[in-house]
Amino acid sequence: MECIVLKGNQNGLSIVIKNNVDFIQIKEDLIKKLDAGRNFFGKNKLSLSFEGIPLVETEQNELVDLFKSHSDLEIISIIDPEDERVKLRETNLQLQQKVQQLEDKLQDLLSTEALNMQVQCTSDNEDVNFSNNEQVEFHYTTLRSGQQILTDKHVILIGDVNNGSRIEAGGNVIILGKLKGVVHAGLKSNKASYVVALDMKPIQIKIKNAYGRASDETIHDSSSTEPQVAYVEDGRIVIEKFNQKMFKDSRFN
Amino acid sequence: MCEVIVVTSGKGGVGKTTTSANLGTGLAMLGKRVVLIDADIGLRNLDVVMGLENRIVYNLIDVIEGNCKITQGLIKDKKNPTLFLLPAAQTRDKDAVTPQQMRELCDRLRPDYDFVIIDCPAGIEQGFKNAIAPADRAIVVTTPEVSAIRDADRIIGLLEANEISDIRLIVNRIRMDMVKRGDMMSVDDVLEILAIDLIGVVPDDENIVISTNTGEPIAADNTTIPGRSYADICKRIIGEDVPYFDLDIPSGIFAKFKNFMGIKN
Repeated sequence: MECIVLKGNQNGLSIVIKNNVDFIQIKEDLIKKLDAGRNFFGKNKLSLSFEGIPLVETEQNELVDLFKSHSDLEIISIIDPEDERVKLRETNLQLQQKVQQLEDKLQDLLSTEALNMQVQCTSDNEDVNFSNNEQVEFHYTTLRSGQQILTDKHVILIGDVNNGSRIEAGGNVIILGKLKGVVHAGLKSNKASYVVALDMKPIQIKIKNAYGRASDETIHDSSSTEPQVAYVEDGRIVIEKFNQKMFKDSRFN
Repeated sequence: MCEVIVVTSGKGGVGKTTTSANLGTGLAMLGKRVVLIDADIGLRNLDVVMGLENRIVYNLIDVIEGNCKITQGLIKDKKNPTLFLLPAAQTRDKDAVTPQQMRELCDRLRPDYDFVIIDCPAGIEQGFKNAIAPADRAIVVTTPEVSAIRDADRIIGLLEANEISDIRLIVNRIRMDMVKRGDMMSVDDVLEILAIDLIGVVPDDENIVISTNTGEPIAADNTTIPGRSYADICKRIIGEDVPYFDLDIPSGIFAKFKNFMGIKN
């Protein structure tokens, strides 16, 4: 009749005393098991723990001696499983606390550098030079007289800005079409802002505080021109033929 | 299937009423059943241009408020038996009608007519909103002048915002001699700015002034150039692909003589 069960655990070996039996029988059962599994257990150092019906210390020691005589195992310590369980619980709690602390820290980091971290994660294959917290709105429409776009972001518009319509943007404005209305760029930007248009004929243009208006002759000029860019120099609006090189200047990018 | 067309412009005086009268006449001459609605409440003009002002008993407001039946409010044209006019009220103003009432009125007309043409008042306020509410499509009238074009652009934006996507342009009162001299914008210049499809070009012609004063729309006579222009527009409205005839009027005594007689080149 089985009165003990040998269990392996992370600490070593556990002897589970099952029934309320004679200690003599327990010893006999252990001897049987140890003999049967001598090869299986081999030569190993183990910790031993007792579960089930509790034994007094002298009884425990007797069983440990049996290990010495009936196996090649070396018992290096006796562990109280209850102790072990308490310790595990404590470790578990500590680990949980640590995880929570780390999560809170991560949250803080994310909220202050949100955009930066996200952009860095997603732009693995792209070498896009996004600065912090800069966003762009795309519009695929022609602005007719009376319509307007008001935003804190940059604006890219694929369409025309007709006379009588307006764009107010926090950043730069790029119009892939005719600009014949009013544009006010750079309202919220720290850097120098610019306006690009395929046909630059704004009735008025403002970049931050610099302001320019179309001359009386150019208002009625219907000839088409090449793409142009408007920016501020010495407090005045300058309009010139679009060229890529000027944007390498650090005041724009 | 009935089509409700609103004739609008934004700017006043560019030819909405004249255009509405002539389109109605032209379509009726093609055999269509047409109702013209004057939506310019308080400043009605369509009845004068059609020569029907002495036949008005009931008007648009009477029909909407239920004071009379629709058939009592509609005035049959003098010359075209399939053309009818629903005049505006002169003693009320544009706030007397709501967009929903306009829609319901047109829904009552749809089963019995091929076209309902709404003459829109100038401006962008309640009168405009009422006039465009029931429309399936729009015809924007403009003259080749910067001020008119600015207003037309505004109107097109508002029409698009009200989900009217079939918007066609009539360039009215064009003077080819001035265009040649560079003193007036060409049709292409106008199209470049407004960017919608053209449906017609009507030249400036003193015969039109005469026709609106006498109450006989010029579309009735398509031996005149504007008469022919309107006739072509009507054909395009019903889907025919009519090429634009050359409005180029050469200067010279002979041509001047021909113009005076109203004979087409």
